[in-house]
Amino acid sequence: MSFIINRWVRGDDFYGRDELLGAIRERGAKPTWLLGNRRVGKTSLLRQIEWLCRRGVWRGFMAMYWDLQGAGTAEGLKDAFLESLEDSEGVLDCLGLEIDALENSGFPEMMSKFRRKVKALGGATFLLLVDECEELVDVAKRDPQVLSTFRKLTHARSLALIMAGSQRMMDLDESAARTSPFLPDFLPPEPIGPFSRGTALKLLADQGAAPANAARIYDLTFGNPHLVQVFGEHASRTGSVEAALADLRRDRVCHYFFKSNFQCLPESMRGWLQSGEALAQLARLKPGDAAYEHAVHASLIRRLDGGGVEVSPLLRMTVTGDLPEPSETAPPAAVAPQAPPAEPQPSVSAAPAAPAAQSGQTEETAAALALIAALADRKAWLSALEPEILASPEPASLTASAANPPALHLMASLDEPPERIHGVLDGASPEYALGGEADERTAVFLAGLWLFRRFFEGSPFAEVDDPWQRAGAIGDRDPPIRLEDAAHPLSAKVAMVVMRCLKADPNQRYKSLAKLEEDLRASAS
Amino acid sequence: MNALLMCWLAAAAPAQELTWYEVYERGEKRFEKGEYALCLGDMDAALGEKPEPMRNQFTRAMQKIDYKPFYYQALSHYRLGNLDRAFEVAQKAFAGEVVRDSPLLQADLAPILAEFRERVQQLVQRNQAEERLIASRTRLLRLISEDRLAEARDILAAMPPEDASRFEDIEAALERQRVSENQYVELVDSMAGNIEALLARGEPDKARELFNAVRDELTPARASYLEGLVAEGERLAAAQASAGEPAEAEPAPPEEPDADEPESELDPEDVQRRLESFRDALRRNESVRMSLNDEVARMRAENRDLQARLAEQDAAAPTFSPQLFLSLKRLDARGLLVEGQAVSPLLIREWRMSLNGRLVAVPPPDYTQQDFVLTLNHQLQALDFGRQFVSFVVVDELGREAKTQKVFTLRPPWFRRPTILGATALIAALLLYYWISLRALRRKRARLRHFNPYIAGSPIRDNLMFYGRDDLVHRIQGQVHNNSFMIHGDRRIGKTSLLLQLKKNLSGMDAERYRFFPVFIDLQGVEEANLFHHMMGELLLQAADWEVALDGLSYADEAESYQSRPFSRDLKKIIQRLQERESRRVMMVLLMDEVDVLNEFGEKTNQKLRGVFMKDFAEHLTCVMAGIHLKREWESSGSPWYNFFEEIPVATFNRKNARALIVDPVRGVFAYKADAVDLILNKTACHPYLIQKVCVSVIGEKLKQNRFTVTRGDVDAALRKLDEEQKRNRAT
Repeated sequence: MSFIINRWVRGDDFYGRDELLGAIRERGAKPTWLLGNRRVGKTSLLRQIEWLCRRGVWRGFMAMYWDLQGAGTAEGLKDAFLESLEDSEGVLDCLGLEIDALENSGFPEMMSKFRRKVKALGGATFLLLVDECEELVDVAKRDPQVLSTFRKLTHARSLALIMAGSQRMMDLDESAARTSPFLPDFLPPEPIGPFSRGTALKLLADQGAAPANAARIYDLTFGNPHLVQVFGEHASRTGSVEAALADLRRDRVCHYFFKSNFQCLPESMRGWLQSGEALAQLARLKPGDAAYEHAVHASLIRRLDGGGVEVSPLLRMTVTGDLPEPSETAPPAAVAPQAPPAEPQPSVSAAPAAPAAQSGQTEETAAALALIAALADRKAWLSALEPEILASPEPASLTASAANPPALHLMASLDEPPERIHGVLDGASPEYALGGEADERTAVFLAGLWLFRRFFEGSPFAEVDDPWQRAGAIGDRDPPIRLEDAAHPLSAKVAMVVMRCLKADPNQRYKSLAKLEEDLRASAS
Repeated sequence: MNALLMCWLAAAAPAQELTWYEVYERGEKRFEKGEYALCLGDMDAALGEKPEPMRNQFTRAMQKIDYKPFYYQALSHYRLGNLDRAFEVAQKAFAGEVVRDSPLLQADLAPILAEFRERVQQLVQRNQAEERLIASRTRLLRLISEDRLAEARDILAAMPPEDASRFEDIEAALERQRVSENQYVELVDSMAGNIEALLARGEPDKARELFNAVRDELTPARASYLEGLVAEGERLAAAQASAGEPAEAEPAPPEEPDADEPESELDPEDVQRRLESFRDALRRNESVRMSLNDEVARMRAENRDLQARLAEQDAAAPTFSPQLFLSLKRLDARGLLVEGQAVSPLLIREWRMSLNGRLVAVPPPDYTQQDFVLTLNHQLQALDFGRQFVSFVVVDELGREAKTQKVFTLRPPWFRRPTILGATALIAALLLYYWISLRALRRKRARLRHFNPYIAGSPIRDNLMFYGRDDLVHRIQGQVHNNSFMIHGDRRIGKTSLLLQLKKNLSGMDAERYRFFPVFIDLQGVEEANLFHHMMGELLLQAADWEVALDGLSYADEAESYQSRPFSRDLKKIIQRLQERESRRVMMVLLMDEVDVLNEFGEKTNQKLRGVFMKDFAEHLTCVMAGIHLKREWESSGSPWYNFFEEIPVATFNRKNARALIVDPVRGVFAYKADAVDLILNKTACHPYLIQKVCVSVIGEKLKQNRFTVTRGDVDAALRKLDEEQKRNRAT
């Protein structure tokens, strides 16, 4: 079983898109814009068209793939075009072009020569498959006239310009061009969206996925080709869909996928993910909304039979950190259109929800109590908290798998930059700073350290620049705690508890986590 | 002459006889055709050659059959109506392994057992009824012989009507006896009347004579009474004779004669006649008695005959005691598997098993009465090795007991035998001596050569020192033909070592569909303008080992003009040339280290590099990049560079792998105490570089001390030393 996750595919590795291919073939020499988000398979579609033409499956067509990425300027476009000519088997010979002759021309002249040669083909339609067309946005800023060259290509009778790009193409500024705008010739674009259910299931089945697992993967990914393959690979490696989900939550694949995809949505939608509004905004979409189709094609939502929309479970997991429910018991993650808008979700967090705060307890206290329980449950005492735990509003779930950092003087031998050592010291106990052994009182200190971070938004002795001096301070001195310095409201009682936790001398701290828990509950009520 | 020779050869040649299986197969066919008598003959003939029914018997051309002649014989007899014989043979069939192991065959034979059981039960019931009758007859005859006729008659009267016919003879004999007795009583009464009449007439002498003649036939009471009368008569007669008085005025006769009784005229002849008649009657009566006795004797003889016949019937009846089969198999050192069957047409009421005379608790075996077969499957545990006596006893509903015993010798395992134990001890001693000598030699060499295998700083190139990344290596090697990877992790976590290991593995990999050509490219210190030139330079350096023509490439010393286009052009040529001589698909794997420098390059350069992997020949190109992190901020409108890879984090070791990294490289020379290993693991947080750094220090110190056991104190000392070094470095 081997999924192809990052490379473009063609031939036997290519799945689905039959309707789209048929439509492109039908269009003949008309210009086409394949509009699709990141990782949706635009390059593979172009490569498949090229492969079909090259193999003679599409009779009367000739094709060449042209990748614009990194071109930057008109000269870069020329260079990329020459690279494509060199890369394409037989096209040079067929057209009777000579690279050396083209090298000496400018980009417009070169493309004119190319058009003339294509015209001379007689009968055959030449498909110029242009990938990464967003590059034109950058090129047009520097050299607006280059768009006219492209526009001329769309007028050639036997030449079809098929360009692939995302919604970012709409950023193309043609105001400075002296000729008619280029992009309207390509409207409306042909959207390229997720796989159909049948295609996704066939792909997964061909790679050996069980039907039930394949269906579950489809329901979680909404058929996005990249996510289907990523998920399929994780599931085959980890042995189950649920383990793959946990795996995907840990690494950042989904995060990067959605992040780069939101960047390719219309301007009005791009900020949704960063602002934390994505889930609520997507849930509000209705058929007919301008953003609706974009969200569907980007596999962010899908239409439900009842008329509502379902937001991508993977996006939800990426945003909230909550794993989707197992399929049998999973309540539909749908939000009816008439449902009241959800509150903006918190930013990315991998932690499951902490126990609900009881009456009189703040969220910080509830999370701290969960952290205390998690620290007590560990087999070995921690001597420092990892930066992720320290920063997490719900640190308990991360504590079980946490590990101690190497001894401070050994870390120094890794030639780590000072910031990294400071990062470790942010979560360090005096025992760690002094190279001593951790015990339950160290855990008391770490719980206090997390509370300190929540209320004061910083770490003890962070103002000391030299990491070694800071380590010395952590080992020797109690951090000053003043209520007036707190970034968030803090009762004097809780401040007293934190102060006692953060004593440099272990003997002056709470003797046990149980005693700390008792005092924390009392101070919070 | 030739004709004679041929005749002699023909005569000398052995007769064309059928083999056992040919006869057997013919029998099978005859059975299927319903020719049961012929089938019986064939099976007998087959049994003559091969007496034991067995499974998987080879016949011709390596064919195998289940040989079950008794099965066919039993069914043939049964269908021919010979139930006794069918049952007898069926028992043999059950004894054979073929039927024993086949519930289907057992089901075929079940009707025989069922019918036979029914017949036996009928026979038993009949015999029991017969025995009951014979006992009754015997008792009646005894009563008759003891003259307890009234009791005998009472018993007869109480007999059920259906049995009455069996006692008609005794009843007739009793009737005759009753008539004879009545006649006798009448006769005696008549004689007594005559005596009394004689006395009344004053003829005591005649009365005495008559009384004496019949005295023996009278009952004692009657005889005593009559004798008293006769004596009184005689006394009176004597007194009359002595007194000369007429006797008629003297005492009256003791009884008045019956008025109805005719006056008898007894004269001596008449008395004599009557006496004779009485004697005749007595003789007749005696004769009747004698004949009755004879009859009783005859009847007794008949009874005996009946009993004998019954016994004969019992003896002639086929045996129906339970049949037992037992087999023993060894399970383990002292474990025995007991498999057994008991076949019985009658209900089995009880079963017992014993091992070496001790009863063993046996759970209820698999048995229902309808199956006729009790199947036993039990495991026994012997207390010691040697001969094991296993016996199995079943008792049927008639109390008939069947017992079988098997002996199995449990030999001790080879390693428990004294010779083996001795030899093992000797070998162990030799091995110990060898190991001690070898360790001493290794330690000596280690000391002399300053043996310290840990590597802290340089990347690992030695397979033997490459630890803890097997899963990662396998994952990448399994997918690198389809996907590119970005491995990222902290400094000195082992990324470069991983790339080098991949290079080594992929170079030697004998994949079915792919031939890998890995190229290790270190990007450290590379200028942006030189990126593609540097990459091709590294590639060409390593291509020298591939025996591929490298002429006609655009690569030249000027780095400035050598950008992505000439790079792609050259790469395509090299791949094409490699593919021309390879039947498998060529996969060039770029193993790029220190790719963090790409973060400092412009996005266009990154896109150009990404663009290489979009080329047509990119089906033959893949890469594994290693760095601390790849920049995620992306300004360009085009696809970002970072989404091209599957990212794999390289973390610290797990404790198992970290422990192996500490202990394994010096195994056989240095030994770590467990707490020393734990201290290293805790202080280094399983970071491979730090582990090796500490271990280098620890082992270096142990070599100086000429000691070979690493204690927690040694590790503590090494950590302090490293801390001091660190402090000195900071100070300087």
